[in-house]
This record gives sequence, C-alpha cells and structure tokens, in this order.
Amino acid sequence: MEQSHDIQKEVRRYLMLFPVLLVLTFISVGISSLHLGTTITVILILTICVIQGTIATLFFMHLISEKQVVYFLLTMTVFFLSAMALIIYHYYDLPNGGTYVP
Amino acid sequence: MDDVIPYTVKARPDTGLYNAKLGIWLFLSSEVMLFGALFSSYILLRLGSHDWPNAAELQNIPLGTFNTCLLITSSVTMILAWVALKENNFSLFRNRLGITILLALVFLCVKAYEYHLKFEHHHFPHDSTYLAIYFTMTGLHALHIIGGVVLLSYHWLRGSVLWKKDPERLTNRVEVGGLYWHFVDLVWLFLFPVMYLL
Repeated sequence: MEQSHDIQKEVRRYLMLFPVLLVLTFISVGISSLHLGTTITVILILTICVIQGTIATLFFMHLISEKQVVYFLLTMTVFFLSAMALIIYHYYDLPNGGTYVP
Repeated sequence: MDDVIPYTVKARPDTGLYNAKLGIWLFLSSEVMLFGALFSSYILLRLGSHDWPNAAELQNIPLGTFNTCLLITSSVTMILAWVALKENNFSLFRNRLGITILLALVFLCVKAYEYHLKFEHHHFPHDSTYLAIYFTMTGLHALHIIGGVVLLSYHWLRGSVLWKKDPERLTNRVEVGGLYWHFVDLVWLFLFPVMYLL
C-alpha cells in the first residue's frame, strides 16, 4: 500500500516536470530570437540548459536518491573530463590556433 | 555447483546496486567522457575561430524544437513504462514502451529530413568547421538513438518471456535501459541549444 502510494507520488512528480522541461525549451528558443547580445544569450541559454539537465539527471535518472558509489563514479568522471579539457586548453593558443573555414 | 550469476536482481551488499545498474553507470561515465571530449572540441574550435556562422541561419529551429519536445516526451513515457512494471501492469508497460519507440523513430525521421535539407543546400561536413562538428555530434547522437531503439524494441518484443519467468529482473533491465535513454535525452538537451540556438 505504502509502495503504491510512493509510486503515485513519483508519477505525479514526473508529470509535473514534463511541462517544465517543455516550457524551458520554448524559453530558450525565445531568448535566441531576441538578439540580446552574444554574451547574455549564451549565459541565459546555457543556464536553462543546465537547469533542464539537472532535472533530467536528478529526477528521471533518480540521481537524487542514488547510492554513494554512483556519486563517486560521476565525481571521478567529471574530474578526469575537466582535467583533460583544461590540459588541452592550457597548451592551445586560442586566438590563433583555431581556423574558421567559411 | 550453483552456476547462477549473483546480484542480477538483488543489490550487492557492498555497493548497494545490482550488477546491471553498476554496469550502466560505468558505461554512462564513459559516454560522458566521449561527449564531453566532443563538447570540449566544439568550445575550443569556436573560441579559436575568427568567425563563426549564425547557427539560426543554417538550422531549421522549428524542426529542432519539435525534436527536442519528442525526446522529452519519450523520456517521460520511458519512465512511466518502468512505473507500469513496478505496478505489475505488463500491458500498460508495453503500450508506454511502444510510444517511446515510436517517438524515437519519429525523431530519427525528422533528423534524416534535416540532413536531407542540408545536403540539398550543399551543406556538407567538409564545408566548414561548424558543419563538421554539427554532423559529427548529431550523427553520433543519432547512432545512440538507433542503439536505444534496438534495445527498447527487444524489451517490447521479448519482454513477456522474462516477465513470466522473472518479473523483477525485467523491471531492473527496463530501469537500466531507461537510464541509457534519459542519458541520450540529456545529451540532446545540450546539443540542441549549442548547435541550433547559439
């Protein structure tokens, strides 16, 4: 009985988050068409993106109630990914390094 | 000799996870590294370029938005399919999983149409850095969607066999498949704004 109640509570949560994710997508699209300037647009859209990602991982992937070993695994992944990216950025001469091919 | 693999249903006492769940999180960690490397490459190329095309002019934003909505919806139907198994309702599980697969197939059709439009306008990966990374990342993502469709279709077609034999094991398998599916959705939530809006 209690388990069934918990499941129904979870279902209500998923159904509540569903329109939130859709609305955030439309807000991103709206912001991109407003011509607010590159910096503001990038900050706003990436912030929305991170909020959507957080909702998906915490609730849909149940990361909010996951075991410690999963948190450890993901922390290690983020650490190595950041290390890889930072080492490459450090040795890369950004202003002249990339070449745009029109 | 007992040749049954342990911890396929019950959690291991040391990790608190059953085998498949630990396995999927390890796999997803490697996927984070894969897509993380591609996103890092994108940032590096974009910051290092002297000019960058306006994505909105090259992309069909309504189609991209539609595809994003499809994947978000499929994530919800996927988790509801798992919930149906938790509630011992196999036919409801099959219906919800079927909708998830259908949404994924529509996503792939829309993506194929988008590629068709690009090629029609002579926009090929070798034409610019932006197009090269666009086709690489969305192509790799589409391959993940195809992989997900194969996995979910297997559960949709053959799930009843395991359901009769060991329902808890099927529930766990669907949970693991769902984790993969949500991850694919998560990647798209980042790909869409980066490739279409910025």
